Amino acid sequence: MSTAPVLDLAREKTYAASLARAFGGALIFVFPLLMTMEMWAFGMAMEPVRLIAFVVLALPLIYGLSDYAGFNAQRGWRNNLFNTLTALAVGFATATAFLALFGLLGPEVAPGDAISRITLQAVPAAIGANLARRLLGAGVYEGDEGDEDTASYFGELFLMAAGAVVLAFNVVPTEEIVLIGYQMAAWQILLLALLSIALLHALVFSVGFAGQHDAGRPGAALFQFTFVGYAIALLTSLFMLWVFGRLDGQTPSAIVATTVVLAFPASLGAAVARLLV
Amino acid sequence: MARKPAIAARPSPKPLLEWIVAGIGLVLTLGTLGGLTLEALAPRTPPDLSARVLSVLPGAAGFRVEVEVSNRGRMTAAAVDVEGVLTPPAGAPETAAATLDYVSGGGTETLTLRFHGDPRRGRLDLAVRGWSEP
Repeated sequence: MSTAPVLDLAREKTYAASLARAFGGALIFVFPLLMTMEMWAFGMAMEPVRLIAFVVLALPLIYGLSDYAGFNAQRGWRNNLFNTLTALAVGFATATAFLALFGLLGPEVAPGDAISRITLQAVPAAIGANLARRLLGAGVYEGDEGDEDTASYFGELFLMAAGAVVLAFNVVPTEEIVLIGYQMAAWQILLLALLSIALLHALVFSVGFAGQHDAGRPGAALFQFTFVGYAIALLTSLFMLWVFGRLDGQTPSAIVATTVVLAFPASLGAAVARLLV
Repeated sequence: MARKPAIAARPSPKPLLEWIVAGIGLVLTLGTLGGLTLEALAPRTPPDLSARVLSVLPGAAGFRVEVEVSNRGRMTAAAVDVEGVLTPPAGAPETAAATLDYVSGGGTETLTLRFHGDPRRGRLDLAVRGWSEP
């Protein structure tokens, strides 16, 4: 009969190798967050509703990243789903193992807090697991450079959002983002916003998002990618700041300042999404 | 032997390990979302802190009193200020204080207060003086 055997050792071995790569990617991506004090504190202070919103919005991001990057070369919705679930399993395992190793899941931590603390780390770890092929496996798959070269316009906008999240997530839990917002005068905030847009535009062109479509029309790319990209950076920043409770009780002007500060790394991430993702 | 096209077009079977790992991922993710939803539905009662003595041990200089602070509320308290006043049988009362960074909702933390006099002789009053929101 033509039925394949249930257990094919070579196949299992290939998968185990990609799984190991996924663990590596998760760890490289999440270790700055594992070693950030605010991330432990947020694990217990965060409202469950925000954590749920964070997880629910991260799921399509991880799924989409499976399509563009993923830790193995297979595609298709079924493979993306398996990739997503594997990335989540790897993310939870990595977060739990290292939080426990760092002594942050001791008996004095209430079970609900432990779940929140792990979840908050597991989601970025899962994103890292999905970026593993890019971080660690470059050149492993011949002729497979990811799908972003063929990405549609909305696919590229998705990549920009993913890049924005990936880079901004490293700093969003820190106190410094709010503090920098406090320190800056209005003209400095405006200058930072303009600088973010200018860098985004320059990087979008040099990295080649827009270059392929509009190499000769920088004006069109400015509207198609740069302004849209900055809007994406602002919105992802706003959402992440809300998740981490950084906007609670702030005046509108302080909210704008903090969002513009976080949108700086976010727009860099959006611009170089092709390199990151 | 002629293969049916339907079988030939089927995607290559998944490794068993992948089914197991993906299953773990599914269970963990749904379990977490379920647990968080339950927690979100439970009322968020404000921190309710109390302190009690766990042990008294003689130290190099004075006595160490290990204090357990428990939070019966469901919200986390930050910068928890705990004070102990030791009133010896004779002489002036002695005060010691310490601050805990966080006491999570439903959780406990321990801290140590240090006194010159022996807390086992005399009266030791513990008080959680105040805390802030995280």
